[in-house]
Amino acid sequence: MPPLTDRYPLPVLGGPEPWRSLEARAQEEEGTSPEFPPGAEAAPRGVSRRALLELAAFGTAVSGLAGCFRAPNEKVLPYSRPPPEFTPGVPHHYATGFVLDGYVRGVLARSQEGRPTLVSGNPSHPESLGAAGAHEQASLLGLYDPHRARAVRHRDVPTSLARLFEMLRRRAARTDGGAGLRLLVEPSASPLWARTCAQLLERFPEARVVPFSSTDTGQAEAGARLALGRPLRAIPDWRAARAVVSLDDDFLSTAVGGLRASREFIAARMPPELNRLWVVESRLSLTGAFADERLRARPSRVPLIARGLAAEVGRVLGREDLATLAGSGPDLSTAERRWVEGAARNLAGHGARSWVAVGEAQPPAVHALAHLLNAALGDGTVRCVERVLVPPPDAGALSSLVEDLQAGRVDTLLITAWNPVFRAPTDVPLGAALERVEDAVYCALHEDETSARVSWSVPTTHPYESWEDGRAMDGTATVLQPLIAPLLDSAVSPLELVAAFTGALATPPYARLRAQWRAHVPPPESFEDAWERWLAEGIIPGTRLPELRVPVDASAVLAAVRRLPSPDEGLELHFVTDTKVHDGRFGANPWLQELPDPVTQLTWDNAVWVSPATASRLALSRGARVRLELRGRAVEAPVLVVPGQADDTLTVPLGYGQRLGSPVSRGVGFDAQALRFQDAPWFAPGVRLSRVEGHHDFALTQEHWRMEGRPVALQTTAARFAARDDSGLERLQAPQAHLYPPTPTHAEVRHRWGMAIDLHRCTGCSACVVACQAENNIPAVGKDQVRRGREMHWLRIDRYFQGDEHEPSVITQPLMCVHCEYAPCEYVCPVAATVHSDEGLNQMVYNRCVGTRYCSNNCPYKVRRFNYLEYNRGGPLDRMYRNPQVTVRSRGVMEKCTYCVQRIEGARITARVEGRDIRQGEVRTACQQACPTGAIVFGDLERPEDPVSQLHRDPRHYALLNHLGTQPRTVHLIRLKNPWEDAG
Amino acid sequence: MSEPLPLAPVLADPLVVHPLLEERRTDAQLGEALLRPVLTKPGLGYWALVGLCAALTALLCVAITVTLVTGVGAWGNNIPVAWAFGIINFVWWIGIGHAGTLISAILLLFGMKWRSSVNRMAEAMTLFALVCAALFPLLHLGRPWKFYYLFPYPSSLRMWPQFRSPLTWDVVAVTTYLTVSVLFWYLGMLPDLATARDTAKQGWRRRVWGLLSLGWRGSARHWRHWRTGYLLLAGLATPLVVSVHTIVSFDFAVAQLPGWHSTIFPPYFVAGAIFSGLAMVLSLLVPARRALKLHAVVTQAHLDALARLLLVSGLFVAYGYVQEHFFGWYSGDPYEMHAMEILRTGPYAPAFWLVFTCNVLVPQLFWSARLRTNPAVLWAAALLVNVGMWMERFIIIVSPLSEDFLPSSWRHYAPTWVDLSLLSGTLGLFGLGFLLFLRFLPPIPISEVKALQHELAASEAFASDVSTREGGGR
Repeated sequence: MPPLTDRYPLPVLGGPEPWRSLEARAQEEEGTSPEFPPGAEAAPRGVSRRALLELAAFGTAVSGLAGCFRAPNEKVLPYSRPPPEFTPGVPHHYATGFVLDGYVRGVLARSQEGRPTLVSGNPSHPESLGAAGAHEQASLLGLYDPHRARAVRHRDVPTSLARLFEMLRRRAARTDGGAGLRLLVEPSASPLWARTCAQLLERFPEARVVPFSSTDTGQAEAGARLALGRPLRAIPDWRAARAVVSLDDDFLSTAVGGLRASREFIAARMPPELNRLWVVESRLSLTGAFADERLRARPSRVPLIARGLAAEVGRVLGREDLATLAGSGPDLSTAERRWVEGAARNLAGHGARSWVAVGEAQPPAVHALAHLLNAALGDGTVRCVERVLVPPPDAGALSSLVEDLQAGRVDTLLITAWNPVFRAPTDVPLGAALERVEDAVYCALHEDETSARVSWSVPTTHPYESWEDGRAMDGTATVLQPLIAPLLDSAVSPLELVAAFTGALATPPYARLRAQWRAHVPPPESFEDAWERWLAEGIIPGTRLPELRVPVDASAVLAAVRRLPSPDEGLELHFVTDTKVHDGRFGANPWLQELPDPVTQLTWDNAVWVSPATASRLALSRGARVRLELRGRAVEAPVLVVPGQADDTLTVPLGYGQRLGSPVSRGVGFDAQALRFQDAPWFAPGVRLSRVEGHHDFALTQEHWRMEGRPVALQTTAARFAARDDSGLERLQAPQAHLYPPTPTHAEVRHRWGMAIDLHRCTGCSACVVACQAENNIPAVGKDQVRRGREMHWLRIDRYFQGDEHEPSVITQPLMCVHCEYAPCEYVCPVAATVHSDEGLNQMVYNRCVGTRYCSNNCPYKVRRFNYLEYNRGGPLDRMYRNPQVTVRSRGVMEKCTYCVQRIEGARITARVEGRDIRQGEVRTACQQACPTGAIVFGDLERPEDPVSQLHRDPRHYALLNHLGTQPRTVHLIRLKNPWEDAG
Repeated sequence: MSEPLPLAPVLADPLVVHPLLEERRTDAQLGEALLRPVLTKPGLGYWALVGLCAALTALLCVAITVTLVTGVGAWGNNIPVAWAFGIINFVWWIGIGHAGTLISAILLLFGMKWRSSVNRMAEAMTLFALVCAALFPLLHLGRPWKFYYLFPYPSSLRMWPQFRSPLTWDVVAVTTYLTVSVLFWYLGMLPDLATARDTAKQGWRRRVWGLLSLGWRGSARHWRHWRTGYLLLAGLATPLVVSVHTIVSFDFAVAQLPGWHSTIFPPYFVAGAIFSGLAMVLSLLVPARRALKLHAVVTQAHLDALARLLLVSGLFVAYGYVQEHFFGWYSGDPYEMHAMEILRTGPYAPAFWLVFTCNVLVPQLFWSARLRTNPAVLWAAALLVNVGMWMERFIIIVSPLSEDFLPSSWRHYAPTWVDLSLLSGTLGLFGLGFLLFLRFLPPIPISEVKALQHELAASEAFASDVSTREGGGR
């Protein structure tokens, strides 16, 4: 069950030598292969889906066929003749990677009978460390998306791949040096991509590779260039940082770098020595919700605050140049002044053990200023690594491409970036320009806005269907191996399209990839061994980028900071990358659409976030429809009043409102991109808001946002906790006396399963929600059903606001079935469909359930979910991603968290076969496995040394609704905050 | 029709102001008069009503089909409000069913003579109400085709129902109640079925009624056995009046939900059931009395007695409301207090105040003797009480579920068209059943009215005998 045991011993190292094709094998070795020995009781160990790929018949007979210029198809054989090492029902794990914003995050994919059924984190990968965010886990669903584009289309007419390659070959045989050739790609850290691009440019020096990203607008890079002279990336040491200031940076989200950042940041935050987090931001983010001292400010005011902070730090440190920043510019408000002074003293007090982080949305000068501050607080240098994205992000590149297109200078355009027409700034008329290109090829998973504008739209392979490589932010490289044969015959990997222009079309990407990395092997080791190890481990050792110590050019930075414009007045528009659909690329994914936004609990929608004060001033309420107008462009959108939002700031998440594309994403939300101009990618003043008719019914999974003074999700300050100032906690810890005897058990109980959820570690990132959904075959039910309150998530993350609605204190609380010792659901079920196991699990017997729903009524935690309708309909693709070890529930059946009982039983079987007990930590629930911060701990309460037992004894633990006497097996641990007043 | 008998004071009791029978007739005349609704052709109004009820019943069929085909998700239920219209309707109909048994059995045991004229209708109403009620637990199941898991049947799985669950008790209580009610109703009807058989003109009616009357010949032995059996069944049915709704209330009281978990629930539910049942009897009796011209046998005395009962049971219910809110406050439990507070001020507050008006204020009208015998007022009040009692179940069930322990899961409820169709459809089914009953079975117990007339005559004779003797003595 645990992935590591499956990954080692290595699939191939211990097994037969790999071979590439039957022919090759026949040549290489004759009769030396260790076959399945006759009479052996078990299959030899060391299986992998390498076995599948090794069986790939690499037919060469097709070379004579006219019109076929691609590398011949590799075939994966069906399981009608299973490889001997394969045991049906025993899953295998393969290490690969998931690319987000150009960087790779290592994942392990669980494969069952050849089908990937779960994506989890790769413990060996520095970016994942075993955790997995919502996006990579949900990417599994994208693989099996039934709405994926299927046909190659030329001017809307279905055509064949052969025709496409015929065209590409014609275009590749050009003599103009590539003057009419353009590539529109996303910046990627993949070495293979970098090399392919380089090869292309070598062959066609006049061609251009145009980067396009709507999330990386190059501001951080420009800031680095300003401060450090080169576009480097600063590397914070979260583990060491005692004081962290975030200037509009949501570094605890699970976006790029977030998994590692949140794990290390939280590790440094554990009591008794808490670090302190200062956040200034415009909308409430997960990082802001976690902050000890949060300041809300409109986005254009953040530079001013940054400047004030720098001046104050300069004053405290005695740095004259910094301190002079205070003199000029508008004044800070009282609250801002207090925040800045506190933050500066705190930062200065910790010196090198402090960090200032800046979000991408802020202008380059603020990024540069942060580098300067970090250098000033430390030894005068900044810890950096090189940026490895190729081509480097360049916000202006797209508009010059459009100029070229409009001028008719381009005859061939390859687009591998996701839906650039949808994501292009509103003042860059990419869509119209594309229609002027004779052969514009767009390679994508769905037929979307861009497909409608190009002459060739080509279905692409899912990343889990093709070979590639990639690098993490720290440079660690990973080979991305396919997990399954392409589900669609006509799908092409983007690399193959580009290969048509590098003359490498006859070489399959696999061969190119191996050729790429062959040089990386140190001499004594054979490449094959190394390759197998890389594949098994999911990382290529020795590829980490060297850490640089770079001094900061203070004068340039200060000059840039002085040139920063003053904050804007009036309503301000603020764009944010969406937590769920990112820039829209995950909009087709029902799991992510239905994942409640961790802050607003909104599903299947985006909204204009408005602060309570602004809402009351403009007479807006939840669901009111407004028209936003900016420089002649307008959208209509519904309003959501969110506590903690900066006043006069209208936050609009990007990535919604697709008009074409998958039916899942089509028409969901509104298109905020329509107001996003090139020169104002993240915030824009001068937006006009007017009320329009109508009311919008949001699909919110949590409608009530207050805790009503009940002890539900608890937090206190570290100082008060240390002083035992919260006498209430004891009442929530002592088990209530019971009239009833404990549930009788039949045998000597060897395990008592239990869980602990540490609210102090929980950032609310929602990775666990998706993990649970993927592991337990939980359906997405759609917007209408969520509106009706029928979402099926077994694990939900409750989010409560406390205190002032303008400056709320926020807490997130993951909650799933707590497996009560005295479960209220059990005694009310008339058919004994929910019963207690000897080991303390509250079990749900689906076959017995008739659906009276009494158990849900009597559950004080309301963690039970009911299949009001048949939610598990679906085609053959929908069946493929389901976990075969978990029952798919039909209509009319109640369900809830099982503590991943299938994993417990799996471990029990393994242990029994091996004649031992289940080891400590052997059973890990899906949510626990995904959690980047280790907030969820599952284990055996019978073992006093098990981490879960220790957490059950922790002074911070409490039982939710303890007064009911349910005696939950899952306890929560209260969150501690470390506000500045305590230290001051 | 013959001349009416001369009017005479029916009882010497000065407290009884209205006569139980308006006029005296011979047994034959009486029998013929009471069978007239069954034997004559009905008017246009009747068919219009039947049409309306049949249309609603068709709507019920559609709603049931939709529910069974798409699943219970066709209703407005959600998490946390997992019970709503289905259970509300179930409790409401079961409550309505109570009046029949109350009037038939309890009043019989207490020797209340006025029950004779109304008990048949009340019993029929009970039956149809029970049929409507029995639909809902079935439809409300997620997997209705597995309903038999709730019964203790000898299964090869060796699985029994889980007897700690009040729903299992419910199954037992309701099925027992249904069985006893059917038996009681049928047994009471036997002599009348025989009368109908003997009076019927068409052959097929004679045969059907003959079959149904189980060979009743009216011999003294028949009467003796019948009376014993009827009394015994009345004795058996009486505790059921209390037990059924007590157990229905356990569905809520046994749960630990604030607003449900309350010891006042059993008596409060029983009082509410009787209250709503009486209201339904009145809502049916007043128009039936007018339409079938039953003024002679359903007199102002009956209306007066029912109105008094309505007032008394209404006071019980009002006491229940007061206690519920008092307990909520007195418990000091914030969860309980919240459950009570949202009743008064929360999203369902209009429903709560409607309940208060209909169930507490409206019955107070019947402190007035004049209003007690005014059929129009009685009918309007009875309809309001019906509405009020339905709304009472709505707020009892939906409101505590909507806002329970953890505010994160709070969510409110709105019905769908299927919910509304099921409610109106069962009203149609109920009405259809009752209308057909009026046409095909004697709505007034002929034998009992005849017996009553003889008893009254005897007691009058005795009274006049005494008075003449006393007068002679003077």
